[in-house]
Amino acid sequence: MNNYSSKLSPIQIFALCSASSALGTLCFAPLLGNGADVSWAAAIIIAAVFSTAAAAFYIKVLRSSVCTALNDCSGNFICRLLLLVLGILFIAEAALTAFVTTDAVEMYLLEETPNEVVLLALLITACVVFDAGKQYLARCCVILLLISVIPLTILITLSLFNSDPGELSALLQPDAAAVIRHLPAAFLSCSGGGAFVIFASGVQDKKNLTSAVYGFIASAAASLLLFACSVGIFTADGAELFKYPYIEMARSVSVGTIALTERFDIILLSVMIIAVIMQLAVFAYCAAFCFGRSAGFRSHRCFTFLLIPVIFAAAYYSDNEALFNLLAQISFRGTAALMLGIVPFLLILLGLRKRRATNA
Amino acid sequence: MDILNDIPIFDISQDYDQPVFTGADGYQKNCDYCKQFMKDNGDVLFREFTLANGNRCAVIFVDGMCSKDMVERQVILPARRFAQSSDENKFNSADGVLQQFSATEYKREKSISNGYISALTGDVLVIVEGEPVVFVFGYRFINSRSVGTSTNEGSVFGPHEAFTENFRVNTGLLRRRISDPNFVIEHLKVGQRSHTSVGLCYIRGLTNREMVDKLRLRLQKIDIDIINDAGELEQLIEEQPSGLFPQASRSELPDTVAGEICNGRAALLVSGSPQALVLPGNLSLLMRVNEDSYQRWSFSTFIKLLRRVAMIISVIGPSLYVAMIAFHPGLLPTNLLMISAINRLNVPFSALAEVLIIEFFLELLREASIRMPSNITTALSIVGGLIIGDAAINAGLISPLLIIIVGLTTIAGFTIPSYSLASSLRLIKYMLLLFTSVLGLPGLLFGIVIWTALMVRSSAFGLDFTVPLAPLNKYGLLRSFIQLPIRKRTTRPAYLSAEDIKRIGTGGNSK
Repeated sequence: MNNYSSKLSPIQIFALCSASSALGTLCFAPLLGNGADVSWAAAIIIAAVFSTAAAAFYIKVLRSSVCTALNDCSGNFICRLLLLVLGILFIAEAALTAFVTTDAVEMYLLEETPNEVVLLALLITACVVFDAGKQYLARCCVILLLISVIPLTILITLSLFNSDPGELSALLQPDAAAVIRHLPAAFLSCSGGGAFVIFASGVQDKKNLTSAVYGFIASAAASLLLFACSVGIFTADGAELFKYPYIEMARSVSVGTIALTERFDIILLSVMIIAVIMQLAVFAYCAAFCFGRSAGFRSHRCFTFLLIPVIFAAAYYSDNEALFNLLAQISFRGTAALMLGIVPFLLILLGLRKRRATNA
Repeated sequence: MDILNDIPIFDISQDYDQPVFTGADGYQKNCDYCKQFMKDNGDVLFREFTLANGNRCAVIFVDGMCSKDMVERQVILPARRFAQSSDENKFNSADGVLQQFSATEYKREKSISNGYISALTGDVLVIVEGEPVVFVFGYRFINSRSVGTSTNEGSVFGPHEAFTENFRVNTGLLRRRISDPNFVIEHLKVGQRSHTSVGLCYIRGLTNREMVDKLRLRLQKIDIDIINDAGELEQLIEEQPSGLFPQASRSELPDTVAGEICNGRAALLVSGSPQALVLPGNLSLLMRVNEDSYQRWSFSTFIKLLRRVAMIISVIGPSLYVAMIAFHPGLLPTNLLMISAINRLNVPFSALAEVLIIEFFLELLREASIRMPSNITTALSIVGGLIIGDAAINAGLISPLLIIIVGLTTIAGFTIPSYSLASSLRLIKYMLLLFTSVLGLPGLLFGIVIWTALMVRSSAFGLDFTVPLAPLNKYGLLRSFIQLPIRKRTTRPAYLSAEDIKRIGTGGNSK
């Protein structure tokens, strides 16, 4: 009746990109960036600019799906191998997201509940969301994004009121070395870039993809605003001391007697948990998609439940610092490489080939 | 046992479409064919007499389903009168027979089995000797309650009359509201044994044709013995039988059904059911009350928003209580925390057990109040709600705060206009309670995401359950939350894909 078929609408692409980007990651990105010093803001801006530019470039140049492009450039075998690597990148991102969320939940909400229970529940919920396919996943993202926008806006507004504007000036004096150090982690705030590459494959009308750019901008802006608020409330040095500065910042917000809750961080935590589920679902879908295509299957569904134990194990053992660092490095560098290296390289290679073919 | 063995069984897989017996002994065979099935039936009446031309004529009808008086006056008397007038040519042809019997509804039936089945559904079967067809006259007269007020869908403004169990009365109630020549009520028979009349109602040139065709096909494909109510039909035609959410809306108000038909939906009327099915259903439809259109838009908007908030409260209320009391008391404002701590000081149960006990009690009360005679319901509510509830608090078994929460969620649940949707949400409420009991607030959030995923996956006849929210339809979303002034509602909802999208400005003097 309503002929929406399997095409993604602009708002769905926007929701997918913003859900898979900063909304979930913003809460823990400073942790990964070796302390949230003032240079973090500049790093986020640079990462967002590069990611947005890469996405815009991708939209403008690529005429086929990422699988076809990989196939054309490198042949069937290497294409499958690359998809496999891409799948591993998504699993690393999903595991990292799941681990940090579980850690935050344990710290702020469920001190006595075993981590593995929360982790398993998180993964099963994500699985239920993405199992039916990208169209339903995108619809869930739209609804949950709409649910999240209002509390997040209220929180940012209240935080800005509680901020000291004088402290914000520190954000304008970033240290170049620190910015470079933070850059890979800041790219994780735009980790939706990887997902964008997968989802863009199914979009017929390239104009619709433009909304993905807005998705990146929105998520980077939210991340930046929250960081600015935490600096404004705790000062630049104070924000560095916390493991989760955004949550601490939300916790410190006071609205007086009209508040229905003693702790305002519950709003951010709720938004964060919902966003993380969506992020996990997007990553898990992308991983299942990559593995499915790599194995020659048309559907991702055969990998749906196979991914749960893999992500669970990776996230569960992230308690181990070495594994955590490995996952973080895969995620940081993989996302940065994908957005700034692999995709532009593929596009340029394809362009050159086409030009050569036309000349011949 | 022997008597039973002598009676032939009407094999519903083979005996349909038995042609009318013709030839010299055709009349006798036709009569015998019917008589063999009506052998032990006291209510199936058989009357035989001779026409003016000497041919025999038999009338078969069911006592209590058609008007005896009409049969007497319109069939038997004319036949007898002409039998005495010696005008033998009057019954010589099928047309002649039809001219003598005055009936507004009649048909010539080439199958004696179908003719007999028609008689069993309330028509009058007339077998005339020498005719290659039998005649079916519509003198149905089933005693049923008159059109009354709606008992399940209350409203302050708007019409109060409701559908009855009488199919023809119901079609009349709809036809009275939509006098458009394009308004169609297609008659279909469903049920191998019940032959229940089903009316497929839509407006040609407005309702999406593809959807109507799909609906008709599904109705024709139904292979079941009996249909008693619209609810059974709903389950037989729905796309996702295992789905949690209703895929059609039920209403007993003709104005609601007529309004939805004019919006581009289709409706199904089922003989014997006082409710119509409106298809395809989605969340927006199930949360709508036609009364919203009868009031000023500003107040209707407020009520619409209130209803949506109430829906959320009814689902998450008890879970939120368990999460806050059992898992995160630190999230409560200090004063509230102290009040809840004092209230729960002597309660011997955990917050979850407390909620489950009170919810179980409420479910019992609800079920009992539906099943009990209406004059005892008041006494039941006093005993259940006041005496037991008060005693439980005084005994320290449950905390007064929980009574407030459960009372609030129950009242919020009553604001949901669709009983089917409210029932589905009751199940969701228990699912959320289960998740919350394990993981507190994160569990509640996981449950909310799963609830959203389940809703997003539901669809009916190609219409997604969550449309216009997902897939997003901005104008539709605006209309589902805000009641636009009637002059501004110029188009029908786009997501229904109506063939005629304009409501206002179609050539009439709407300005």
